[in-house]
Amino acid sequence: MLNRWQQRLLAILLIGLTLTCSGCWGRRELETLAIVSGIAFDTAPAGKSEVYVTVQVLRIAKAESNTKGSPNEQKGYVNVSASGATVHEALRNCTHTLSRRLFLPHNLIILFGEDLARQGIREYLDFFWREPESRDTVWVAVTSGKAADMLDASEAVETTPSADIANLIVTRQATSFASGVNMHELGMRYASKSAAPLTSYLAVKKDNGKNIPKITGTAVFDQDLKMVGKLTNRETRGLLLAINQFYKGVAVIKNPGGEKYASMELLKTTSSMTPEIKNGKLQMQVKVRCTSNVSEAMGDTDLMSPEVWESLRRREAAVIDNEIMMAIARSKQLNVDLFGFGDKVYKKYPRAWKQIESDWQEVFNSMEVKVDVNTELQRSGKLISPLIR
Amino acid sequence: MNLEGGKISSGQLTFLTAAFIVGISIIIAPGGNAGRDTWLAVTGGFFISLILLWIYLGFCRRYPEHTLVEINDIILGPALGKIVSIIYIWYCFHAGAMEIRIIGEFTATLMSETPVDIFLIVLSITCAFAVYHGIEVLARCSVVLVIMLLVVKAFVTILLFPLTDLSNLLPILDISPPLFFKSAYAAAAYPFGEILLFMMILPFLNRPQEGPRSLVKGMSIGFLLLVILAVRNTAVLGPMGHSITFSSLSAVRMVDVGDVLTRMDILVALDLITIGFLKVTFFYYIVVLGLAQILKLRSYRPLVVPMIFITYIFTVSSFKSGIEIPYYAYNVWPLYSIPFEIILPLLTLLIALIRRFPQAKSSKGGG
Repeated sequence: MLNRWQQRLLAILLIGLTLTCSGCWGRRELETLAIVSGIAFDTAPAGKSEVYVTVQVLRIAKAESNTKGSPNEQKGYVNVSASGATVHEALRNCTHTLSRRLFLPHNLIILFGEDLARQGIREYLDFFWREPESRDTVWVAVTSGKAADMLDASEAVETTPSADIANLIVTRQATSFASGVNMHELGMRYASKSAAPLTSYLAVKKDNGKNIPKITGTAVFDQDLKMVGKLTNRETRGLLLAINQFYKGVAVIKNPGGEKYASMELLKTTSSMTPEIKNGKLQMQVKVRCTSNVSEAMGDTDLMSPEVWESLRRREAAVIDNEIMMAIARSKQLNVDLFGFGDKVYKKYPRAWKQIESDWQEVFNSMEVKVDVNTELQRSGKLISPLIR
Repeated sequence: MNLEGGKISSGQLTFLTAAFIVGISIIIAPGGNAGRDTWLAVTGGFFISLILLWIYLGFCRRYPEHTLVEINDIILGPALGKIVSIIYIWYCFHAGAMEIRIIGEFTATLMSETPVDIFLIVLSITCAFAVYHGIEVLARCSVVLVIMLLVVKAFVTILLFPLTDLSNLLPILDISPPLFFKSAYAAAAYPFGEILLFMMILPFLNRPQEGPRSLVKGMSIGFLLLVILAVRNTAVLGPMGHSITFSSLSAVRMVDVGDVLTRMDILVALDLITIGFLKVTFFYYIVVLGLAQILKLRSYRPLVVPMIFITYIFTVSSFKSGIEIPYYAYNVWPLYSIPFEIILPLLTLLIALIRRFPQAKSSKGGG
């Protein structure tokens, strides 16, 4: 047997060995990886029925040193295109022109060109839900025009267009005028009983000959994941208010007794949708509760009176109510259930749902939706009333 | 009984039982066929298994100083008893092989380029080492590892709160009753019913009269954890849940708190490997201990290494590919368990009743 010192020595040796000799079988060193930060899909050129993908890959050394230097300098990213019969094959085919293997876990965004989105994106998504390397927190968006162009748009703040776009989706929460949907939420909506899948929608803004991505509204899909239409900014906000995914935003109202505008900063918004069966008729009750601050009053209305206060509150409620009604009207017009009302019905009345499931869209289109908005004003900021000379 | 010199306390038994119940069910929900109602299936399975436990404990109360193998010998006689014991040992062996294979499949899903054998071999060697050092080591490990498991699970579950939508559990029980009972029974067969194997270690308690209470306590801890996990995963994954291979993994991957606390999936792997290690080690231990008692060896240690090799070969050859496992786990294993967990104990009970619970002969060290 080993004595005590020998035992200790052996232990130190073994620990040292595990620290220095351990490794990973499928190890891939940083300098052999092509870290993907964005993926774009478009319709294949010239009538081919292939998957046509453009991948944005970071050039790590460049991305770090590129602090808005001269425009001639190399960019911090490179875009590679390839095609294949399936998504995986197309991605692997990227290695024909790229000297490194693609590494997906740091991917930020998956883009679809609008033409492709209208043809349907169902078959493109399975790979991303299935592949362990791909995370379900990746954002998904539809772009006007070609998605590949969006990955080449001028970067504004971040080092790559894809990081820029991903941040646009995050900061849209400031206005809630656009949807932000990741693979997980897209899957939840797709697998649900009735909710229409949604993604963000990106348009292009021309600025001094540069193309700048601009997030606006929502792309709406039907149950087969074919894009059927878009929501405007206000419709999107109405939708987000109703489905309790509203973050932050400003409601603009007319000043009481004046032509000028006032801004209400929406602080905390909660909402609920409850189906109700009354006299055999299905109806939906949408309740929204929000608190807000007066953040701006352009006119010279004095805010010190309770009547004005009450009037502001009611005007704000009317704005919110209007936006939700716009979203409902749009939903009926597009013939989809944007709100997932059907799922609410299924959860509350599973038996009744079985009878209406097959022609749910008609039921939805003729269903009465009651919107009940309750607003509450809290503070008026640094001013009680506008400065008047 | 001189095979195992160690003694474990009833507290350690509680933790060991909890670890045993949880096992790989961290990632493959028992009764997962029930979809949204998995948590109800788990609950149903738990209560079914309590009835089974009551039968098993009936034996233990009559023969507090004897293991399952010895009880079989006493009740059924040396010849038939040994055959029945070998059947139990086979079941334990098979369950352990399944367990270790599923752990391997899970790690291989995460690291798809590493051969699954690497995980299996490393885990087998670790387990063999633990078995070699006996039940005391295993029991002490289980206390530490189960506490760690509970802390990690609580941490991750709290981080998942923002994504948890309990309305995804509605409507409750919108599945056909046969499917529900099938799922509940599947949960009873695996993992709760395997509590049968604890009849092999109850005599090693330092206070045997506390054994039943510890078993029920440990089962309840495991059961509560499984229900919480089932509720959490359903609430997070919603309608996607039914197509997802490892729902805990997919749910935990969604954790994203301020871009800082993300990529928690390694915690699931950590839990699985630690708790899986306990459960596999327990199975191995029962197999070698049982064989040693059947063969009347003086020590089980010579059996450890050969048993690891045999299990490894069986593990690798029992499935052609990982795709078969979910189907097998949900549809075949529950039926396969019936003879071991229900029919054999009931038959033994019947014979024992007819023979009026014969007592052991004076040869105390017979086992």
